[in-house]
Amino acid sequence: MANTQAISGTMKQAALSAVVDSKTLKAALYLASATTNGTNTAYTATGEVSGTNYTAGGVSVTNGNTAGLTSTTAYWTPSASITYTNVTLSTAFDAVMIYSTTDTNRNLGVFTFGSQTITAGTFTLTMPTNDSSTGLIRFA
Amino acid sequence: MEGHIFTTRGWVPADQVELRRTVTHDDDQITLVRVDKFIGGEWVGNDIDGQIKTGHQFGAIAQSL
Repeated sequence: MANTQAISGTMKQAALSAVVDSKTLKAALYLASATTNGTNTAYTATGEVSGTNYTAGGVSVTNGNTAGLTSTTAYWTPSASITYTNVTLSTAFDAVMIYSTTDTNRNLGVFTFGSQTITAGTFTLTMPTNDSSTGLIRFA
Repeated sequence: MEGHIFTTRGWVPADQVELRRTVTHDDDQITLVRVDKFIGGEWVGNDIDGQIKTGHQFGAIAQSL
C-alpha cells in the first residue's frame, strides 16, 4: 500500500471554521458596473447598490452552520436565505459579497449572477444544500 | 403583511395582483426568476427569486517535496 500526499480534511475544516464559525456576517450587493472581486480584502462601499429600503452594508446573513467535513472536503453555507425586502434598485446589479463584521469586514467571497433590477419588490437568494458537493464555500 | 404583496402602490391584497414569472438567468450555479407584478394590467414592480445551485470551490494541491 502506497502513501498518498495530501492536505488533510481536518486541516481544511479548521481553516474554514476559523473564518465562518460563529461569525457575524453580512451580504452587500454590487452594481453590474463595479469591479468587486477576490482582491477586495474587506467590504467596500465602492460600487455598492443604493436605493429604497437598501441600507449600505447590506443585510445580515443567518449563520447557524459551522464548517462541515465530508471525506477531505470542508464546506459551509449560510443557514437561511439572504433576503432584501421591499427594495427598489434601479441600477443593474449582479453580485453579492458575503463578509464578516466580526473580522474587520473580511471579504469571504463574491458571488455573481445575471444582471438584475428590482422595483418595489423582494430579492431572495436561496442557499444551496450545505454539503461537500454544493455548499456555498467548499475547500476541496 | 400576510396575504398582501408589496408594489409601487404599497401593500395590496394578493388576490388583486397578477404575478408573471420569467427565468432570466439559469446556469450551473444559479437560477434567477423575475416575478413581475401587475394590477389591472399595469406593471407595479417585480421580485427576484434566486436559487443558488452550487457555491465556490477552491482546491488544495499537495505537491511532492
